[in-house]
Amino acid sequence: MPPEKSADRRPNLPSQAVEKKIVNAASSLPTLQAKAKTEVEMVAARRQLAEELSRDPEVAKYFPNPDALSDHLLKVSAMTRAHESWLSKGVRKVKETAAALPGMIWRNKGKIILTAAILAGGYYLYQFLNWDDIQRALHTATGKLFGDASAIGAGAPSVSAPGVVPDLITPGSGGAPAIVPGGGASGVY
Amino acid sequence: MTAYLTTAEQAAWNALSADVRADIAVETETRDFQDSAELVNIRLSLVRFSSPDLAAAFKSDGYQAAEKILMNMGSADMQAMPETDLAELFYVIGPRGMHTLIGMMLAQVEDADDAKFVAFLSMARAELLDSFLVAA
Repeated sequence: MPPEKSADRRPNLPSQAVEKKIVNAASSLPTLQAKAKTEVEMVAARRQLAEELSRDPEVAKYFPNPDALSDHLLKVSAMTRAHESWLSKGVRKVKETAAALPGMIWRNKGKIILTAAILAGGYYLYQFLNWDDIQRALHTATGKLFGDASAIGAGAPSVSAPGVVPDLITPGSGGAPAIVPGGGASGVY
Repeated sequence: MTAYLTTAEQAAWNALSADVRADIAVETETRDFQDSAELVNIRLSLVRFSSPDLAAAFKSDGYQAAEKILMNMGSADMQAMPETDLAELFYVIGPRGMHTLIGMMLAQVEDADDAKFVAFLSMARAELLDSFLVAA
């Protein structure tokens, strides 16, 4: 069973069902904006879509303010374009390089990619605000993996206790995940 | 093979023995992408996994499925994973998550295979950055 969720559960992040509604609605945005002749008209088109969407009570629960929803629609559009670009172009080189990697590397290390995705997604997935909660949620499962040092290389950190799962979101270590707006800073780039 | 590493990562890379780094060129990665929980949430709603187990794991009530996948990974063959699913996993992680993953893996490089894997991850990050920054 997953551990109890943080009492300070993050407010106003849409459920996946609501996010999918927004994503679906946002697919009409390029067509709407293509009809706009000026930047002002583009913003107005997006604002109008946001107003229509926010009439849905489920959406309004997370976005009572159409302006905030309009900003969110912009981000949805950006992530959609990134997804399309990644699947159509970026991933090609990754596939080629992955195919050239010795099978031994994949057997020993490929699974870390899956773990990283689950952990990265897990931050949102489980609606935990506290990064320690995510670690607690997954440490039992990942312990089965990381307990075998060969899984991610010798010297891999044990995850037999909360707080020692490598932070896959925050560049550097410690502090709040940088993925949290206003959270820990990179300091690396 | 080329590794695309930040200046900080190159310091760790250059500390590795020369034989481990052999045959891998290094180029400097200077770009960054500011991720957020909001953006991760959007990405989770955009991905489509062909594997039912993966699809279940990334649903909001997918804790049990995620746990099952992680438990079963000891015998999992990542090479057998559909390429489209692998691509979606990278997309969920995003450039910023890749940055942390690379840092973690760099700290554990012991042989040439380890170094090649780091180079591979860095190349995937570079491609992700291309897609994410153009779209931003």
